[in-house]
Amino acid sequence: MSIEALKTRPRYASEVFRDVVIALFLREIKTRFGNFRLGFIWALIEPLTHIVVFTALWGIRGHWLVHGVYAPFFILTGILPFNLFANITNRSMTAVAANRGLFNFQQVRPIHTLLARWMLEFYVFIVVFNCFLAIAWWFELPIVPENLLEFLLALAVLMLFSVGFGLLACSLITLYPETEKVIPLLLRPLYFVSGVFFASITLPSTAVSLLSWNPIFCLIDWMRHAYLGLPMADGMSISYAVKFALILFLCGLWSYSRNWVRMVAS
Amino acid sequence: MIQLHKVTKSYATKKGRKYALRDVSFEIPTKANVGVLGANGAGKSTLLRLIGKIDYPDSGAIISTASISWPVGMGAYQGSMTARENCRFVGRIHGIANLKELERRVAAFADIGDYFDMPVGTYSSGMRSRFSFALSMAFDFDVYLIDEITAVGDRRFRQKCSAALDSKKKTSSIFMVSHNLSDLEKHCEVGLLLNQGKLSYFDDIKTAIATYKKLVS
Repeated sequence: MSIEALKTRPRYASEVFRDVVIALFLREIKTRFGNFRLGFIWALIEPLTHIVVFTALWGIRGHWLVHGVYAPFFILTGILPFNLFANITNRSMTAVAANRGLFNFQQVRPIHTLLARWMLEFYVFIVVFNCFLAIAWWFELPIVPENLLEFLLALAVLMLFSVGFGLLACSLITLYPETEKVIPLLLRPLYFVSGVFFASITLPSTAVSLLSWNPIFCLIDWMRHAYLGLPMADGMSISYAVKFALILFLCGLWSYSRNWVRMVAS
Repeated sequence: MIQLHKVTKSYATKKGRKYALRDVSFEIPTKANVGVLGANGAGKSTLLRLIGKIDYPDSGAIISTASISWPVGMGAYQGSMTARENCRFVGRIHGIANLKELERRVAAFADIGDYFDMPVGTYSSGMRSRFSFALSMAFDFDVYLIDEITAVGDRRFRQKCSAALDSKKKTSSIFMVSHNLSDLEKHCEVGLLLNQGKLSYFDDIKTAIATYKKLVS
């Protein structure tokens, strides 16, 4: 008995690219949420724990408002963008090792696996954010963004920054495998200095002048400014964050283009 | 025709650079079935990977218009996913529109019953190779890359594989790397001998095997 082969139609390179990214994206959804039934619930619970802890900490002191914004909502608009960055970085670092077997297919190259993972993280961010908005709306909190377009622009810059950092981390790990341990170590303190539980306007000016060097803090502050209408303190610079993101993205692309062949060679 | 144009591929080892191919210009026929011979570590699998476009030369170019398979029986599955899911994934990246039909055919050929819907990681090695062999046979490639056909499954399935491969050979050709000389003699007509970065061509696989035997003894 033999097997009758299915005909494939000729595709443009761009169609192959799209097909591969879609196939990997569907696979990522399965491996991330399929085995672990609570997978998606976990994506909600994790940020919720941050929100609960900080709301409780401030609540004990009788502060339910941060500069006129309800504390849970304030934390939400900090933790979700921060998680987006952290998740994209982590998932980029492991993308090559986790998909090594798939590089036996000439169609699948590291960039496809990276793109699929970024898409999934972005998708998770959007869904989780909307879930929390729905909950906030249920509790009759004001959820309408101050300036939606500006918020989306800031989100796009955050994506650019994260993707650039992810590409750079991915290349670094290929060249120096030990960096896989070092990068997470360096990233951990970032949680405390990136404005998850503070905004520039709530800080003394000396702290602002120091923390304004952190582009992630700038981006999160900008997103809060756009969504909640919180003013940004003097010394915070949006253009600095945008330029930083652009340069990082270009560096990421450059390092990827120099190193991707090394990633597929086993 | 697969054209190798001044192809060099090397690896850095502790004892210095080791060349699998050194400035090789060559035309590999795609009409005939090709068997590749060479001592351990001569770079046979590397040559196969270069031709399959899953690895790249240090310098030079490999040009082909033929559609080339992934290395048969190699890494065509992801352990945490079921055979059906793996099947759909491979179908998608190859642009198969009718995934249901692909699943049906692969399931029928692999003949692993309910295991088709269990994670591939739980399979015995026999079942795994049955599945990955069935999957490779479900596509139409001009050239099939085979890196060591290991005996797949029981006697009955081996016969089925052999028959499937024979019928494939009517429309496609085979590019095979193996240490099993009788496998090469059975499936290939022409031979390539890889030795110290140089590639030599033999019209007849039998002379290639004879030369190889002289070389290693």
